Amino acid sequence: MAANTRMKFFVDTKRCIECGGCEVACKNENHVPMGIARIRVVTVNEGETGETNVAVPCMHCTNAPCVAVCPVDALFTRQDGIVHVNKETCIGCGYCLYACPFGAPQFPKGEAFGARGVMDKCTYCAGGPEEPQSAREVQLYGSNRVAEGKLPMCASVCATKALVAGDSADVDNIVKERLATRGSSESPWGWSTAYAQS
Amino acid sequence: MRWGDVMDTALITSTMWGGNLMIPLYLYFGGITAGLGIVAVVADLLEDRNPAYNLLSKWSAYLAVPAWALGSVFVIFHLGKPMRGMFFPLFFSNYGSWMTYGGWAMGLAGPILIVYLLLRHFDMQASLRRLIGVINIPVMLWVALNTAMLLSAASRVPMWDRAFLPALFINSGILSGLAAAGLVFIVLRHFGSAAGSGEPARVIYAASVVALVLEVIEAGILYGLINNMATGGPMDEVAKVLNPAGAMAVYNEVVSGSLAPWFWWGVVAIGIVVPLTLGIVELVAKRWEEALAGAKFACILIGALVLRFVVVWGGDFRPLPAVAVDTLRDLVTLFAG
Repeated sequence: MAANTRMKFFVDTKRCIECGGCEVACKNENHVPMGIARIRVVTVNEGETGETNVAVPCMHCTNAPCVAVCPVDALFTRQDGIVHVNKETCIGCGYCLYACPFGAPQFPKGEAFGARGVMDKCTYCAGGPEEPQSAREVQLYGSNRVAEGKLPMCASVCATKALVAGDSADVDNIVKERLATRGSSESPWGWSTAYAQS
Repeated sequence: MRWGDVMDTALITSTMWGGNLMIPLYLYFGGITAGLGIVAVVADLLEDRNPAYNLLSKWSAYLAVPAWALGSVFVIFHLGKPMRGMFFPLFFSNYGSWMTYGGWAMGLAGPILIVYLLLRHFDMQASLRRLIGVINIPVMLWVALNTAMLLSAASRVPMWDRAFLPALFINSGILSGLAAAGLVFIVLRHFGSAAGSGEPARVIYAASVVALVLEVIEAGILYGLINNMATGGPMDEVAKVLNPAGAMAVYNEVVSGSLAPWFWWGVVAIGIVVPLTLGIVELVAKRWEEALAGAKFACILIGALVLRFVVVWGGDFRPLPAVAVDTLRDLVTLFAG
């Protein structure tokens, strides 16, 4: 992996069709517990003109606000730009959730006496700080597809390729290409084909 | 092209801290602790002029320690791992986080308050006691400031606007501490055995004047906070680019949405309008001073509690910065650097 590699997600709101495939794939791949959504599809203007869907995982920000506020340094940014949480050191304060502009940090629900467990979030399918693909890593964080040279499962299964993952330079090129192809139209991708004015 | 130009604002709603009583209660007792600590010292310094301040100073010191203890318990037990919060010097390693500073603020405040309380209770070492008290004032301000900065560090939450919330919580903390001390002072004078010496009426008058001034300041800061949200102001650069309508959507939730009854009845009516009215009547009419002051202080305490809940509940509404194609350039600039 190149020294300046920076893994990113990009969500193309003109392509997302709210199928929920990313959510299911994530849960299945990482054995995400009940009540936790490492990625969720948010619908804006539901049922109205201009309805838009946005898949929202952790965006693995470069200057991640969650990393900045975590009092115990449980959150950290890897060399490849992926933001990880160390569940062994997290104290479950919930501060990261409020710092995160995307609401990505998740906390278990339904614990005894309303107690809050430690934070869980999208790992970019890159496991955690444990030994890659060790039993401990799988138990705490789920799969480590990045160690196998694969992209996150959500992006891999996205039927419309609305969710793009990879190195930021590659993602940037894909987005530029799409913009050049469809121009500045505000219509969803494929709209003119499906509902062309005759 | 901006997010707000092409579609309505999406608010992320959660019940992370708002659904949990412990954070608002920590903010409340943290603020009261700070106010009581400051009132205890100021009354201590004024005691030579009017011995009646002795009772106010002592009871402020007595109340500050349990208020601090309650605040500490609430903030520690909201954690998923309370033991790690209790031993914060071992675990809080990020000195860029306001929660780390909050741990130290509460951790330092307790021992200082306890030492001051012992010296105050036994009326020992007046010079040393007052020195400790004066040193404690910045610590108390730090405790109150931290209750706000803890929230304001989450810069994408419009309700936790850094321009107003610190001033609001410091002012409200001092005001509620003064109200707690004043209320107990009045109750003890009437129903307790501590009749006190000096001129207690002047103590109540001074507390009422200070409370009135702080109430006016609080009303101004609160107006600033709400008005800034109404105009989309309290957003950092990221939020401004991505979702300029977000603050206004949160404003609507607070003043006319689900939080409106709490905001208008609890914060504005009980917390500001009634105490201000009672305070003015008390100072103008110069009758029933103790009854009016007692009722006013009780209202201030209730209003301060509801204020913390409204601020934390309001933080559960956050605008979602959408990752739209049109905003990619802005995103690359702001996030990716």
